[in-house]
Amino acid sequence: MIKFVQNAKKRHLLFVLCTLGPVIVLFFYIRIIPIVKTAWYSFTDYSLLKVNPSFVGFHNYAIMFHDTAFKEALSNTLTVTVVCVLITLTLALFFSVILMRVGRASAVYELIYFIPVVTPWVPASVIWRWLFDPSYGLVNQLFSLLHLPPQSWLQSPDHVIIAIIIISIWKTVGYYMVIFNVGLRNIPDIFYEAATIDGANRRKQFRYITLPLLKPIFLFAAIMAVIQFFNVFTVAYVASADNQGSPSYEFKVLVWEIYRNGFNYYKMGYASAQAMVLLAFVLIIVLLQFKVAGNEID
Amino acid sequence: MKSIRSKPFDGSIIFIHIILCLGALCILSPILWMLLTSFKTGEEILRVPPTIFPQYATLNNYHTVLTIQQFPRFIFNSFLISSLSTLSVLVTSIFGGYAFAKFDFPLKKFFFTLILATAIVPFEVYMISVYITIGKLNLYNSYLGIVFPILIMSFGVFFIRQHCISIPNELLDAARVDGAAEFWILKSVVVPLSKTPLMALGIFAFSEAWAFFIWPLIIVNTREFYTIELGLMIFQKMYYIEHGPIAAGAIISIVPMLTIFFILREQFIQGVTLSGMKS
Repeated sequence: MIKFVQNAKKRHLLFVLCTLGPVIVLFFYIRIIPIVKTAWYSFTDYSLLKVNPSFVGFHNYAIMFHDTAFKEALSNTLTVTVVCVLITLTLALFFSVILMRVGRASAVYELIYFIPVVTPWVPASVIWRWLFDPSYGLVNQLFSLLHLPPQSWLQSPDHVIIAIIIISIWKTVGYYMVIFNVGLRNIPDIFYEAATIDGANRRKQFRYITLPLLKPIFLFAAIMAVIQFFNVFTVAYVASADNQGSPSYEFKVLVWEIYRNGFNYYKMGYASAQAMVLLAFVLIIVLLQFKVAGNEID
Repeated sequence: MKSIRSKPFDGSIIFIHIILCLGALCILSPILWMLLTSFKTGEEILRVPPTIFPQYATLNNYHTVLTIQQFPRFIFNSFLISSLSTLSVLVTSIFGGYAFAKFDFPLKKFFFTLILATAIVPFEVYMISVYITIGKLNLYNSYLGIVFPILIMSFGVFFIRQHCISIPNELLDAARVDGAAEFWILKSVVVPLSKTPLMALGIFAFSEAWAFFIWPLIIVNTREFYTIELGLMIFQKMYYIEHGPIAAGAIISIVPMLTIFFILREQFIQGVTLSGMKS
Protein backbone atom coordinates (compact mmCIF):
# COMPACT_ATOMS: atom_id res chain seq x y z
CA MET A 1 0.00 0.00 0.00
CA ILE A 2 2.79 2.40 0.98
CA LYS A 3 4.56 1.50 -2.22
CA PHE A 4 1.39 2.28 -4.18
CA VAL A 5 1.13 5.69 -2.55
CA GLN A 6 4.81 6.39 -3.20
CA ASN A 7 4.39 5.37 -6.82
CA ALA A 8 1.37 7.61 -7.11
CA LYS A 9 3.38 10.49 -5.67
CA LYS A 10 6.12 9.94 -8.18
CA ARG A 11 3.60 9.78 -10.98
CA HIS A 12 2.04 12.99 -9.77
CA LEU A 13 5.38 14.74 -9.66
CA LEU A 14 6.19 13.53 -13.15
CA PHE A 15 2.82 14.79 -14.36
CA VAL A 16 3.38 18.21 -12.80
CA LEU A 17 6.83 18.33 -14.35
CA CYS A 18 5.39 17.61 -17.79
CA THR A 19 2.51 20.07 -17.61
CA LEU A 20 3.53 22.90 -15.32
CA GLY A 21 7.23 22.62 -16.14
CA PRO A 22 7.03 24.08 -19.66
CA VAL A 23 4.56 26.70 -18.46
CA ILE A 24 6.97 27.92 -15.80
CA VAL A 25 9.85 27.91 -18.28
CA LEU A 26 7.75 30.09 -20.60
CA PHE A 27 6.88 32.46 -17.78
CA PHE A 28 10.53 32.86 -16.93
CA TYR A 29 11.53 33.34 -20.54
CA ILE A 30 8.75 35.73 -21.59
CA ARG A 31 7.95 37.61 -18.38
CA ILE A 32 10.30 37.30 -15.44
CA ILE A 33 13.69 37.44 -17.14
CA PRO A 34 12.69 40.37 -19.41
CA ILE A 35 11.42 42.33 -16.39
CA VAL A 36 14.67 41.74 -14.49
CA LYS A 37 16.75 42.51 -17.58
CA THR A 38 14.92 45.78 -18.18
CA ALA A 39 15.75 46.80 -14.63
CA TRP A 40 19.40 45.98 -15.38
CA TYR A 41 19.43 47.81 -18.74
CA SER A 42 18.18 50.93 -16.96
CA PHE A 43 21.60 51.19 -15.32
CA THR A 44 23.52 50.79 -18.59
CA ASP A 45 23.95 52.77 -21.78
CA TYR A 46 22.57 49.83 -23.78
CA SER A 47 21.89 50.87 -27.35
CA LEU A 48 21.34 49.00 -30.58
CA LEU A 49 24.10 51.17 -32.02
CA LYS A 50 26.61 50.29 -29.32
CA VAL A 51 27.98 46.77 -29.22
CA ASN A 52 29.23 46.62 -25.64
CA PRO A 53 26.99 48.36 -23.13
CA SER A 54 28.66 49.62 -19.97
CA PHE A 55 27.34 50.25 -16.49
CA VAL A 56 26.47 53.90 -15.92
CA GLY A 57 24.83 53.81 -12.49
CA PHE A 58 21.96 56.22 -12.05
CA HIS A 59 22.98 58.31 -15.05
CA ASN A 60 19.79 57.47 -17.03
CA TYR A 61 17.61 58.39 -14.08
CA ALA A 62 19.47 61.66 -13.65
CA ILE A 63 18.93 62.59 -17.31
CA MET A 64 15.19 62.19 -16.90
CA PHE A 65 15.01 65.17 -14.57
CA HIS A 66 16.37 67.43 -17.32
CA ASP A 67 14.46 65.85 -20.19
CA THR A 68 11.67 68.28 -21.06
CA ALA A 69 9.95 65.77 -23.35
CA PHE A 70 9.85 63.24 -20.52
CA LYS A 71 8.54 65.79 -18.04
CA GLU A 72 5.86 66.89 -20.48
CA ALA A 73 4.91 63.26 -21.10
CA LEU A 74 4.72 62.50 -17.39
CA SER A 75 2.57 65.52 -16.68
CA ASN A 76 0.25 64.73 -19.63
CA THR A 77 -0.06 61.12 -18.53
CA LEU A 78 -0.90 62.09 -14.97
CA THR A 79 -3.48 64.65 -16.12
CA VAL A 80 -5.16 62.17 -18.47
CA THR A 81 -5.15 59.53 -15.75
CA VAL A 82 -6.70 61.72 -13.06
CA VAL A 83 -9.33 63.32 -15.29
CA CYS A 84 -10.26 60.08 -17.06
CA VAL A 85 -10.51 58.06 -13.86
CA LEU A 86 -12.75 60.64 -12.19
CA ILE A 87 -15.10 61.19 -15.13
CA THR A 88 -15.20 57.58 -16.36
CA LEU A 89 -15.96 56.09 -12.96
CA THR A 90 -18.56 58.75 -12.11
CA LEU A 91 -20.33 58.28 -15.44
CA ALA A 92 -20.10 54.48 -15.18
CA LEU A 93 -21.54 54.49 -11.67
CA PHE A 94 -24.28 56.89 -12.66
CA PHE A 95 -25.36 54.82 -15.67
CA SER A 96 -25.05 51.60 -13.73
CA VAL A 97 -27.30 52.84 -10.92
CA ILE A 98 -30.03 54.14 -13.20
CA LEU A 99 -29.71 51.01 -15.34
CA MET A 100 -30.78 48.92 -12.36
CA ARG A 101 -34.16 50.60 -12.48
CA VAL A 102 -35.18 49.81 -16.03
CA GLY A 103 -35.58 46.07 -15.56
CA ARG A 104 -35.11 43.83 -18.57
CA ALA A 105 -34.28 46.67 -20.94
CA SER A 106 -30.97 47.03 -19.10
CA ALA A 107 -29.55 44.15 -21.16
CA VAL A 108 -30.00 46.16 -24.36
CA TYR A 109 -28.30 49.24 -22.96
CA GLU A 110 -25.53 47.10 -21.52
CA LEU A 111 -24.95 45.64 -24.98
CA ILE A 112 -24.78 49.06 -26.64
CA TYR A 113 -22.55 50.64 -24.01
CA PHE A 114 -20.16 47.73 -24.33
CA ILE A 115 -19.58 48.15 -28.08
CA PRO A 116 -16.68 50.65 -27.72
CA VAL A 117 -15.04 48.28 -25.23
CA VAL A 118 -15.06 45.60 -27.93
CA THR A 119 -13.71 48.05 -30.51
CA PRO A 120 -9.91 47.95 -30.41
CA TRP A 121 -8.03 51.20 -29.74
CA VAL A 122 -6.71 51.64 -33.30
CA PRO A 123 -10.06 51.75 -35.15
CA ALA A 124 -11.52 53.72 -32.22
CA SER A 125 -8.78 56.32 -32.60
CA VAL A 126 -9.10 56.34 -36.39
CA ILE A 127 -12.84 56.94 -36.08
CA TRP A 128 -12.41 59.80 -33.62
CA ARG A 129 -9.57 61.38 -35.54
CA TRP A 130 -11.98 61.85 -38.41
CA LEU A 131 -14.68 63.23 -36.09
CA PHE A 132 -12.16 65.77 -34.80
CA ASP A 133 -10.92 66.75 -38.25
CA PRO A 134 -10.72 70.57 -38.30
CA SER A 135 -12.44 71.06 -41.68
CA TYR A 136 -14.69 68.06 -42.26
CA GLY A 137 -15.08 66.56 -38.79
CA LEU A 138 -18.53 66.04 -37.36
CA VAL A 139 -17.57 67.70 -34.06
CA ASN A 140 -16.81 71.03 -35.70
CA GLN A 141 -19.87 70.72 -37.94
CA LEU A 142 -21.99 70.37 -34.82
CA PHE A 143 -20.14 73.33 -33.31
CA SER A 144 -21.05 75.48 -36.29
CA LEU A 145 -24.70 74.43 -35.96
CA LEU A 146 -24.55 75.76 -32.41
CA HIS A 147 -22.80 78.92 -33.68
CA LEU A 148 -19.60 78.03 -31.83
CA PRO A 149 -16.24 78.71 -33.47
CA PRO A 150 -14.58 75.61 -34.97
CA GLN A 151 -11.64 74.24 -32.99
CA SER A 152 -8.47 72.61 -34.20
CA TRP A 153 -8.84 69.69 -31.82
CA LEU A 154 -5.80 67.62 -32.64
CA GLN A 155 -3.59 70.46 -33.83
CA SER A 156 -3.38 72.68 -30.79
CA PRO A 157 -1.56 71.67 -27.60
CA ASP A 158 -4.43 72.91 -25.44
CA HIS A 159 -7.17 70.99 -27.21
CA VAL A 160 -5.45 67.73 -28.00
CA ILE A 161 -5.62 66.64 -24.36
CA ILE A 162 -9.39 67.21 -24.33
CA ALA A 163 -9.75 65.11 -27.47
CA ILE A 164 -7.65 62.29 -26.01
CA ILE A 165 -9.67 62.35 -22.78
CA ILE A 166 -13.00 62.26 -24.65
CA ILE A 167 -11.89 59.28 -26.75
CA SER A 168 -10.59 57.42 -23.69
CA ILE A 169 -13.80 57.94 -21.74
CA TRP A 170 -15.94 56.89 -24.70
CA LYS A 171 -13.89 53.72 -25.08
CA THR A 172 -13.88 52.61 -21.43
CA VAL A 173 -17.04 53.80 -19.70
CA GLY A 174 -19.01 50.70 -20.74
CA TYR A 175 -16.43 48.40 -19.20
CA TYR A 176 -16.62 49.98 -15.76
CA MET A 177 -20.39 50.20 -16.02
CA VAL A 178 -20.61 46.45 -16.51
CA ILE A 179 -18.26 45.90 -13.56
CA PHE A 180 -20.50 48.06 -11.37
CA ASN A 181 -23.57 46.23 -12.68
CA VAL A 182 -22.09 42.98 -11.41
CA GLY A 183 -21.54 44.62 -8.03
CA LEU A 184 -25.00 46.14 -7.84
CA ARG A 185 -26.74 42.91 -8.83
CA ASN A 186 -24.92 41.17 -5.98
CA ILE A 187 -26.49 43.45 -3.37
CA PRO A 188 -29.39 41.42 -1.95
CA ASP A 189 -32.87 42.85 -2.58
CA ILE A 190 -33.75 42.37 1.04
CA PHE A 191 -31.58 45.36 2.06
CA TYR A 192 -33.62 47.67 -0.14
CA GLU A 193 -36.90 46.10 0.96
CA ALA A 194 -36.01 46.62 4.60
CA ALA A 195 -34.96 50.20 3.91
CA THR A 196 -38.18 50.91 2.04
CA ILE A 197 -40.21 49.58 4.95
CA ASP A 198 -38.19 51.79 7.27
CA GLY A 199 -39.10 54.72 5.08
CA ALA A 200 -35.72 55.47 3.53
CA ASN A 201 -36.03 57.27 0.19
CA ARG A 202 -33.95 56.48 -2.88
CA ARG A 203 -31.25 58.99 -2.13
CA LYS A 204 -30.80 57.62 1.36
CA GLN A 205 -30.80 54.06 0.05
CA PHE A 206 -28.07 54.99 -2.39
CA ARG A 207 -26.02 56.75 0.30
CA TYR A 208 -26.35 54.14 3.05
CA ILE A 209 -26.77 50.84 1.19
CA THR A 210 -25.49 51.02 -2.38
CA LEU A 211 -22.33 53.05 -1.84
CA PRO A 212 -20.92 51.17 1.19
CA LEU A 213 -21.66 47.76 -0.32
CA LEU A 214 -20.21 48.76 -3.66
CA LYS A 215 -17.03 50.14 -2.10
CA PRO A 216 -14.78 47.09 -2.62
CA ILE A 217 -15.69 46.86 -6.31
CA PHE A 218 -15.40 50.60 -6.72
CA LEU A 219 -11.91 50.58 -5.21
CA PHE A 220 -10.86 47.75 -7.42
CA ALA A 221 -12.26 49.50 -10.51
CA ALA A 222 -10.41 52.66 -9.55
CA ILE A 223 -7.08 50.81 -9.36
CA MET A 224 -7.74 49.10 -12.70
CA ALA A 225 -8.63 52.42 -14.28
CA VAL A 226 -5.57 54.21 -12.91
CA ILE A 227 -3.26 51.54 -14.30
CA GLN A 228 -5.11 51.41 -17.61
CA PHE A 229 -5.04 55.16 -18.22
CA PHE A 230 -1.46 55.49 -17.04
CA ASN A 231 -0.52 53.10 -19.85
CA VAL A 232 -2.23 55.30 -22.45
CA PHE A 233 -0.43 54.98 -25.77
CA THR A 234 -2.37 53.82 -28.82
CA VAL A 235 -4.91 56.62 -28.77
CA ALA A 236 -2.18 59.25 -28.52
CA TYR A 237 -0.06 57.54 -31.16
CA VAL A 238 -2.85 57.07 -33.69
CA ALA A 239 -5.00 60.12 -33.07
CA SER A 240 -2.30 62.73 -32.56
CA ALA A 241 0.55 61.57 -34.78
CA ASP A 242 1.36 63.50 -37.94
CA ASN A 243 -0.32 62.16 -41.03
CA GLN A 244 0.22 63.05 -44.63
CA GLY A 245 -2.36 65.68 -45.35
CA SER A 246 -3.27 66.13 -41.71
CA PRO A 247 -0.59 67.44 -39.38
CA SER A 248 -1.25 67.23 -35.70
CA TYR A 249 0.29 68.19 -32.39
CA GLU A 250 2.01 65.11 -30.94
CA PHE A 251 0.51 64.44 -27.56
CA LYS A 252 3.43 63.10 -25.53
CA VAL A 253 2.66 60.34 -23.04
CA LEU A 254 4.96 58.17 -20.95
CA VAL A 255 4.68 54.96 -22.99
CA TRP A 256 5.23 56.91 -26.18
CA GLU A 257 8.45 58.34 -24.72
CA ILE A 258 9.60 54.82 -23.86
CA TYR A 259 8.77 53.77 -27.40
CA ARG A 260 10.46 56.81 -28.95
CA ASN A 261 13.68 56.50 -26.96
CA GLY A 262 13.86 52.75 -27.33
CA PHE A 263 12.81 52.23 -30.93
CA ASN A 264 13.30 55.56 -32.72
CA TYR A 265 16.54 56.67 -31.03
CA TYR A 266 17.66 53.16 -29.99
CA LYS A 267 18.57 54.42 -26.52
CA MET A 268 17.48 51.18 -24.85
CA GLY A 269 19.17 51.98 -21.55
CA TYR A 270 17.44 55.30 -21.18
CA ALA A 271 14.09 53.88 -22.33
CA SER A 272 14.46 51.13 -19.73
CA ALA A 273 14.91 53.72 -17.01
CA GLN A 274 11.66 55.36 -18.12
CA ALA A 275 10.00 51.94 -18.14
CA MET A 276 11.09 51.56 -14.53
CA VAL A 277 9.28 54.78 -13.70
CA LEU A 278 6.15 53.23 -15.20
CA LEU A 279 6.68 50.08 -13.14
CA ALA A 280 7.28 52.07 -9.96
CA PHE A 281 4.04 53.94 -10.48
CA VAL A 282 2.05 50.74 -11.01
CA LEU A 283 3.63 49.11 -7.94
CA ILE A 284 2.82 52.11 -5.76
CA ILE A 285 -0.81 51.98 -6.89
CA VAL A 286 -1.06 48.24 -6.23
CA LEU A 287 0.55 48.54 -2.80
CA LEU A 288 -1.82 51.37 -1.99
CA GLN A 289 -4.70 49.10 -2.91
CA PHE A 290 -3.42 46.33 -0.64
CA LYS A 291 -3.10 48.84 2.16
CA VAL A 292 -6.63 50.15 1.72
CA ALA A 293 -8.02 46.63 1.35
CA GLY A 294 -6.08 45.63 4.49
CA ASN A 295 -7.60 48.49 6.47
CA GLU A 296 -11.05 47.42 5.31
CA ILE A 297 -10.57 43.99 6.87
CA ASP A 298 -9.41 45.48 10.16
CA MET B 1 -33.65 44.92 -7.20
CA LYS B 2 -37.04 43.35 -7.69
CA SER B 3 -38.52 45.56 -5.01
CA ILE B 4 -37.95 48.60 -7.15
CA ARG B 5 -38.89 46.98 -10.44
CA SER B 6 -42.23 45.68 -9.21
CA LYS B 7 -43.27 49.05 -7.90
CA PRO B 8 -46.21 50.69 -9.62
CA PHE B 9 -45.28 52.61 -12.75
CA ASP B 10 -43.74 55.97 -12.09
CA GLY B 11 -42.86 58.75 -14.49
CA SER B 12 -39.20 58.90 -13.60
CA ILE B 13 -38.66 55.65 -15.53
CA ILE B 14 -39.34 57.50 -18.77
CA PHE B 15 -36.85 60.15 -17.75
CA ILE B 16 -34.28 57.43 -17.06
CA HIS B 17 -34.88 55.90 -20.48
CA ILE B 18 -34.33 59.27 -22.10
CA ILE B 19 -30.98 59.69 -20.33
CA LEU B 20 -29.94 56.15 -21.21
CA CYS B 21 -30.91 56.68 -24.85
CA LEU B 22 -28.88 59.89 -25.01
CA GLY B 23 -25.94 57.98 -23.60
CA ALA B 24 -26.46 55.23 -26.17
CA LEU B 25 -26.54 57.84 -28.92
CA CYS B 26 -23.18 59.28 -27.79
CA ILE B 27 -21.75 55.77 -27.63
CA LEU B 28 -23.04 54.62 -31.03
CA SER B 29 -22.84 57.72 -33.19
CA PRO B 30 -19.06 57.69 -33.83
CA ILE B 31 -19.19 54.12 -35.13
CA LEU B 32 -22.41 54.69 -37.07
CA TRP B 33 -20.91 57.82 -38.61
CA MET B 34 -17.88 55.83 -39.74
CA LEU B 35 -20.17 53.15 -41.16
CA LEU B 36 -22.14 55.71 -43.17
CA THR B 37 -18.94 57.42 -44.30
CA SER B 38 -17.60 54.12 -45.59
CA PHE B 39 -20.43 53.96 -48.14
CA LYS B 40 -20.01 57.52 -49.39
CA THR B 41 -18.06 58.68 -52.44
CA GLY B 42 -14.88 60.68 -51.93
CA GLU B 43 -16.61 63.85 -53.07
CA GLU B 44 -19.55 63.41 -50.71
CA ILE B 45 -17.32 62.77 -47.68
CA LEU B 46 -15.76 66.22 -48.04
CA ARG B 47 -19.05 68.05 -48.48
CA VAL B 48 -19.90 70.89 -46.09
CA PRO B 49 -22.42 70.67 -44.50
CA PRO B 50 -22.17 66.87 -44.50
CA THR B 51 -24.88 64.52 -45.64
CA ILE B 52 -26.00 62.00 -43.05
CA PHE B 53 -27.01 59.13 -45.32
CA PRO B 54 -24.90 58.43 -48.40
CA GLN B 55 -26.50 59.94 -51.46
CA TYR B 56 -25.02 57.43 -53.87
CA ALA B 57 -24.17 54.46 -51.67
CA THR B 58 -21.09 52.77 -53.04
CA LEU B 59 -18.96 49.77 -52.16
CA ASN B 60 -15.93 51.30 -53.87
CA ASN B 61 -14.18 52.03 -50.59
CA TYR B 62 -14.43 48.40 -49.52
CA HIS B 63 -13.28 47.36 -52.94
CA THR B 64 -10.19 49.59 -52.67
CA VAL B 65 -9.28 48.35 -49.23
CA LEU B 66 -9.83 44.69 -49.99
CA THR B 67 -8.18 44.50 -53.39
CA ILE B 68 -5.50 47.18 -53.62
CA GLN B 69 -4.44 47.53 -50.00
CA GLN B 70 -3.80 43.89 -49.04
CA PHE B 71 -6.28 44.08 -46.19
CA PRO B 72 -7.27 40.42 -46.66
CA ARG B 73 -3.69 39.51 -45.87
CA PHE B 74 -3.75 41.66 -42.70
CA ILE B 75 -7.02 40.09 -41.62
CA PHE B 76 -5.57 36.64 -42.17
CA ASN B 77 -2.49 37.59 -40.12
CA SER B 78 -4.62 38.89 -37.28
CA PHE B 79 -6.73 35.74 -37.27
CA LEU B 80 -3.68 33.52 -37.32
CA ILE B 81 -1.89 35.38 -34.53
CA SER B 82 -5.00 35.65 -32.35
CA SER B 83 -5.79 31.95 -32.83
CA LEU B 84 -2.24 30.89 -32.00
CA SER B 85 -2.23 33.07 -28.92
CA THR B 86 -5.63 31.79 -27.79
CA LEU B 87 -4.64 28.16 -28.26
CA SER B 88 -1.39 28.61 -26.38
CA VAL B 89 -3.03 30.56 -23.54
CA LEU B 90 -5.72 27.89 -23.15
CA VAL B 91 -3.23 25.00 -23.07
CA THR B 92 -0.77 26.68 -20.71
CA SER B 93 -3.57 27.92 -18.46
CA ILE B 94 -5.20 24.52 -18.07
CA PHE B 95 -1.80 22.84 -17.54
CA GLY B 96 -0.69 25.44 -15.02
CA GLY B 97 -4.07 26.03 -13.40
CA TYR B 98 -4.83 22.35 -12.89
CA ALA B 99 -1.37 21.59 -11.51
CA PHE B 100 -1.52 24.48 -9.05
CA ALA B 101 -5.03 23.54 -7.95
CA LYS B 102 -4.74 19.80 -7.44
CA PHE B 103 -1.11 18.80 -6.87
CA ASP B 104 1.55 19.31 -4.26
CA PHE B 105 5.11 19.84 -5.34
CA PRO B 106 8.21 21.67 -4.13
CA LEU B 107 8.22 25.48 -4.44
CA LYS B 108 4.55 25.51 -5.41
CA LYS B 109 3.75 28.66 -3.50
CA PHE B 110 6.87 30.42 -4.78
CA PHE B 111 6.07 29.71 -8.43
CA PHE B 112 2.43 30.64 -8.03
CA THR B 113 3.23 33.97 -6.40
CA LEU B 114 5.80 34.66 -9.10
CA ILE B 115 3.31 34.03 -11.92
CA LEU B 116 0.66 36.09 -10.20
CA ALA B 117 3.10 38.94 -9.57
CA THR B 118 3.91 39.23 -13.27
CA ALA B 119 0.23 39.93 -13.91
CA ILE B 120 0.50 43.44 -12.52
CA VAL B 121 3.50 44.42 -14.64
CA PRO B 122 2.32 46.07 -17.86
CA PHE B 123 3.86 44.75 -21.06
CA GLU B 124 5.10 48.26 -21.87
CA VAL B 125 7.54 47.95 -18.97
CA TYR B 126 9.56 45.07 -20.37
CA MET B 127 8.88 45.28 -24.12
CA ILE B 128 12.41 46.63 -24.72
CA SER B 129 13.96 43.53 -23.26
CA VAL B 130 11.60 41.19 -25.16
CA TYR B 131 12.53 43.10 -28.32
CA ILE B 132 16.21 42.43 -27.70
CA THR B 133 15.48 38.74 -27.07
CA ILE B 134 13.49 38.51 -30.30
CA GLY B 135 16.42 40.12 -32.09
CA LYS B 136 18.80 37.51 -30.74
CA LEU B 137 16.43 34.76 -31.87
CA ASN B 138 16.19 36.51 -35.25
CA LEU B 139 12.40 36.57 -35.14
CA TYR B 140 11.66 40.11 -36.34
CA ASN B 141 8.96 40.05 -39.01
CA SER B 142 7.69 36.59 -38.19
CA TYR B 143 4.48 35.14 -36.80
CA LEU B 144 6.31 33.52 -33.91
CA GLY B 145 7.90 36.85 -33.05
CA ILE B 146 4.53 38.64 -32.97
CA VAL B 147 2.82 35.96 -30.92
CA PHE B 148 5.78 35.43 -28.58
CA PRO B 149 4.76 37.76 -25.70
CA ILE B 150 1.14 36.59 -25.74
CA LEU B 151 1.79 32.85 -25.61
CA ILE B 152 0.98 32.90 -21.89
CA MET B 153 -1.32 34.85 -19.62
CA SER B 154 -0.85 34.99 -15.85
CA PHE B 155 -4.49 35.74 -15.37
CA GLY B 156 -5.42 32.61 -17.34
CA VAL B 157 -3.41 30.34 -15.01
CA PHE B 158 -4.97 32.01 -11.98
CA PHE B 159 -8.50 31.93 -13.40
CA ILE B 160 -8.38 28.24 -14.34
CA ARG B 161 -6.80 27.38 -10.98
CA GLN B 162 -9.70 29.03 -9.16
CA HIS B 163 -12.06 26.94 -11.21
CA CYS B 164 -10.14 23.65 -10.80
CA ILE B 165 -10.14 24.00 -7.02
CA SER B 166 -13.92 23.51 -7.16
CA ILE B 167 -13.60 20.13 -8.94
CA PRO B 168 -14.13 17.45 -6.25
CA ASN B 169 -11.05 15.36 -5.46
CA GLU B 170 -13.21 12.24 -5.20
CA LEU B 171 -13.91 12.45 -8.90
CA LEU B 172 -10.21 12.51 -9.75
CA ASP B 173 -9.38 9.77 -7.22
CA ALA B 174 -12.15 7.55 -8.58
CA ALA B 175 -10.59 7.80 -12.02
CA ARG B 176 -7.16 7.05 -10.52
CA VAL B 177 -8.43 3.93 -8.73
CA ASP B 178 -9.80 2.77 -12.06
CA GLY B 179 -6.23 2.99 -13.30
CA ALA B 180 -6.57 6.09 -15.44
CA ALA B 181 -3.40 7.91 -16.41
CA GLU B 182 -3.02 11.50 -15.23
CA PHE B 183 -3.09 12.91 -18.76
CA TRP B 184 -6.27 10.96 -19.47
CA ILE B 185 -7.88 12.45 -16.35
CA LEU B 186 -6.90 15.93 -17.48
CA LYS B 187 -8.25 15.35 -20.98
CA SER B 188 -11.43 13.44 -20.14
CA VAL B 189 -12.45 14.74 -16.72
CA VAL B 190 -10.94 18.16 -16.02
CA VAL B 191 -11.21 19.75 -19.48
CA PRO B 192 -14.88 18.81 -20.04
CA LEU B 193 -15.69 20.18 -16.58
CA SER B 194 -13.89 23.42 -17.41
CA LYS B 195 -15.63 24.21 -20.68
CA THR B 196 -17.32 27.41 -19.47
CA PRO B 197 -14.25 29.12 -17.96
CA LEU B 198 -12.10 27.96 -20.88
CA MET B 199 -14.58 29.51 -23.29
CA ALA B 200 -14.58 32.82 -21.42
CA LEU B 201 -10.78 32.80 -21.21
CA GLY B 202 -10.47 31.91 -24.89
CA ILE B 203 -12.64 34.80 -26.00
CA PHE B 204 -10.73 37.16 -23.75
CA ALA B 205 -7.36 35.96 -25.07
CA PHE B 206 -8.56 36.24 -28.67
CA SER B 207 -9.82 39.80 -28.29
CA GLU B 208 -6.67 40.87 -26.43
CA ALA B 209 -4.49 39.43 -29.18
CA TRP B 210 -6.64 41.00 -31.89
CA ALA B 211 -6.26 44.44 -30.33
CA PHE B 212 -2.55 44.03 -29.52
CA PHE B 213 -0.90 47.03 -31.10
CA ILE B 214 2.34 48.31 -29.62
CA TRP B 215 4.22 45.04 -30.08
CA PRO B 216 3.47 44.46 -33.80
CA LEU B 217 4.25 48.15 -34.26
CA ILE B 218 7.72 47.57 -32.84
CA ILE B 219 8.79 44.31 -34.43
CA VAL B 220 7.04 44.26 -37.82
CA ASN B 221 8.13 46.43 -40.69
CA THR B 222 7.17 44.43 -43.76
CA ARG B 223 3.63 44.49 -45.09
CA GLU B 224 3.60 40.73 -45.25
CA PHE B 225 3.25 40.47 -41.47
CA TYR B 226 1.06 43.49 -40.72
CA THR B 227 -1.85 42.78 -38.44
CA ILE B 228 -5.13 44.50 -39.22
CA GLU B 229 -4.49 47.06 -36.46
CA LEU B 230 -1.06 47.90 -37.79
CA GLY B 231 -2.29 47.94 -41.38
CA LEU B 232 -5.09 50.32 -40.52
CA MET B 233 -2.76 52.67 -38.65
CA ILE B 234 -0.16 52.81 -41.44
CA PHE B 235 -2.88 53.13 -44.06
CA GLN B 236 -4.32 56.11 -42.19
CA LYS B 237 -0.88 57.69 -41.86
CA MET B 238 -0.22 57.46 -45.58
CA TYR B 239 -3.59 58.16 -47.14
CA TYR B 240 -5.39 60.41 -44.69
CA ILE B 241 -6.88 62.50 -47.48
CA GLU B 242 -8.77 59.59 -48.99
CA HIS B 243 -11.01 59.05 -46.09
CA GLY B 244 -13.50 56.62 -47.62
CA PRO B 245 -11.16 53.62 -47.77
CA ILE B 246 -9.90 54.38 -44.24
CA ALA B 247 -13.48 54.33 -42.98
CA ALA B 248 -14.02 51.01 -44.75
CA GLY B 249 -10.81 49.65 -43.23
CA ALA B 250 -11.83 50.72 -39.73
CA ILE B 251 -15.23 49.06 -40.14
CA ILE B 252 -13.63 45.86 -41.46
CA SER B 253 -11.27 45.72 -38.49
CA ILE B 254 -14.15 46.04 -36.01
CA VAL B 255 -16.54 43.56 -37.64
CA PRO B 256 -14.88 40.31 -36.46
CA MET B 257 -14.80 41.50 -32.83
CA LEU B 258 -18.40 42.74 -32.96
CA THR B 259 -19.56 39.47 -34.52
CA ILE B 260 -17.95 37.39 -31.80
CA PHE B 261 -19.33 39.79 -29.24
CA PHE B 262 -22.92 39.57 -30.49
CA ILE B 263 -22.87 35.79 -30.83
CA LEU B 264 -21.18 35.05 -27.52
CA ARG B 265 -22.28 38.08 -25.54
CA GLU B 266 -22.52 36.38 -22.15
CA GLN B 267 -19.11 34.71 -22.30
CA PHE B 268 -17.55 37.81 -23.77
CA ILE B 269 -18.68 40.13 -21.01
CA GLN B 270 -17.85 37.45 -18.45
CA GLY B 271 -14.38 36.97 -19.89
CA VAL B 272 -13.57 40.63 -20.13
CA THR B 273 -14.94 41.63 -16.75
CA LEU B 274 -13.59 38.58 -14.92
CA SER B 275 -10.18 39.49 -16.20
CA GLY B 276 -10.49 42.56 -14.07
CA MET B 277 -11.39 40.58 -10.98
CA LYS B 278 -7.96 39.00 -10.87
CA SER B 279 -6.91 40.91 -7.81
